[in-house]
Amino acid sequence: MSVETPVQPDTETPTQDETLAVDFKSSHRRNVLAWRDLVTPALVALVLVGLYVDISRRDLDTIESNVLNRESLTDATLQHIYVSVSIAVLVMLVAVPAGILVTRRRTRRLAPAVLAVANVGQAAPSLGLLALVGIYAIGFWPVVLILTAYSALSVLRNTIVGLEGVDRGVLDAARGMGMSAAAVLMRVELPLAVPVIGAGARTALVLAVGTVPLGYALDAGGLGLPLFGAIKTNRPVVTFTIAVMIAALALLMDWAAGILQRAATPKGIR
Amino acid sequence: MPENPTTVEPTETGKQTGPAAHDARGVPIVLSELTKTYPGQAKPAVDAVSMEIPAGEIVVLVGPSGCGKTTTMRMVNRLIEPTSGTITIGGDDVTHLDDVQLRRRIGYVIQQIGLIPHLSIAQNVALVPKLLKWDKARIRSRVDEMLTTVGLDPDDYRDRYPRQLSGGQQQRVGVARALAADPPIMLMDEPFGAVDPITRSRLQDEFLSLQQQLGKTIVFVTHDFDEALKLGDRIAVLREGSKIAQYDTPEQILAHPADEFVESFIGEGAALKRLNFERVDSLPLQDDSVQTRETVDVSSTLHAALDLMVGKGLRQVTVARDGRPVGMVRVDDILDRVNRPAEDPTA
Repeated sequence: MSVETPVQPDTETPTQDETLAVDFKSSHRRNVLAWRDLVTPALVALVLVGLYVDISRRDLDTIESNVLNRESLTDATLQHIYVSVSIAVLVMLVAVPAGILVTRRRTRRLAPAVLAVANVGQAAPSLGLLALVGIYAIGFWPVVLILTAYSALSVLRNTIVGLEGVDRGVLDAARGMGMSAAAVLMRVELPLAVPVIGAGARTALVLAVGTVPLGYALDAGGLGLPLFGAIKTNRPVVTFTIAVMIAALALLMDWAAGILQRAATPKGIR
Repeated sequence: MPENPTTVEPTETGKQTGPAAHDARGVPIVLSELTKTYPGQAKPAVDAVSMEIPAGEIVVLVGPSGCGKTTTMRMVNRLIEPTSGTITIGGDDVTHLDDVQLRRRIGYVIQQIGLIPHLSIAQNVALVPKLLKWDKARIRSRVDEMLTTVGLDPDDYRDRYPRQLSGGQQQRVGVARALAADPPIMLMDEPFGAVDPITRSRLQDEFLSLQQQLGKTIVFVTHDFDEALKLGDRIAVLREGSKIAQYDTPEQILAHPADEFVESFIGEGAALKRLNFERVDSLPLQDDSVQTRETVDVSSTLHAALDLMVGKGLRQVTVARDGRPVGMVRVDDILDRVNRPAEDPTA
């Protein structure tokens, strides 16, 4: 090779250029897991164990013990998780492509329309909508679809913000190197937008966990049915227990999604 | 001027047996009647620019901000599509080639550097070779070679991420990345604009010595006339609409500015700046009967010699070649030269 080294890195005296550099070994690159990730599950576990101990000491009547037993609570919780995750996945499948669409140069003008639709989805009273749809259709899909419309906005907005937040210089260089538009999107823009899109997805998931109980009347399963049943039959112990469980579930799902989000974030920007 | 390959092709295929097979020397770029009018604007941002950029030279486009110099440069790799006019690179009309393919054969360095933050330094440098589907071993050795070329130890830097590097180091990687696929031409948009002055001047020096070996054709955009003087084989001073006010060598522009606009752009000290382009041994040396304590090398510029004399309060200074005195240069000789520019250095 005809090119020779114009400078000798070992012999040159360091200038500002070199001394300003962050030392590689001491740099604080974050790992996916950290000790503080234990805080949320520990607190949640503490509360749930306390609740369990308290309830197991009580004398429960038939209605109460029909709900507050391991089998039915596990079933309801698993259903709740299933419905919520379905909503979150569906939200991602709809809102991320929509966000990509409205940030492309050619389809940018669709942005106001898409955002308007998403805004309506969130602004429409979901309980009312659920009741209305419940007249015509019940079960898993009506609930999932309505609540997807309800929580799509957060992912859509974050996708747009995340994609638009990618450094212009990085995009210019990537295009200037000869990456196609699709390659820039898949290999530069989306990876760099993962933290922001992920934050939106977490919001959507938490929203879903919190709103799935509203679908109790549509028979989609989850912790909504026992919760509202307890309210109707005036069983405060059950109401309280289920409410705490829903809150704990929201916290845990958010916690798990947070770790997932960090794992999906490329190493260089973590 | 180096030998010109007739096409831009050599970087594109896997024909080269290894990275050391050869380096693509520069090829000429010709812009003719190149125009860019943005929609909704009456005045073109770039108005029918025609210029020839000789192979293997650094041509600096310099002008006030908004004059269209960056737009002109970005039309060469079609990041901006020209409204009309043509661009030929090495004799081939590239105005209608596939723009993505075209860019892989043109090095691109920008002020914001634009290293991809989630890719390691090695992955950043490997970007274009990967797009060109080089095999892995070849890419790996090329990455190491390029990092070495820009003065970064591959073992130390290969696996780092961009944010772990200083601005100056990042721009070295930027240059390595642009050179990785060995393009015959490079576009550089204020590449050293965002680093501190000390680093900038060092990067400029290294860039010049690198270019001496590589002989690429380089289009370099800056608003800093002193940078243009330092780096350019030729300078195009542009006014609004990217109209060429003067296109000539730095020496000629300093000695004979075309008009007031160019003069105003040169700013003060044109005479002194000119001294940067002449070496001490271009002057007839006086005999060295009078020894002075201070010496300059024959290869020093007149500017450096004068600076030394002004600084030390001397009227003359010994000139040395390889450390041995060969004569002497006086302040008056330099002043004469400034007032009677060097058409005929023996006069």
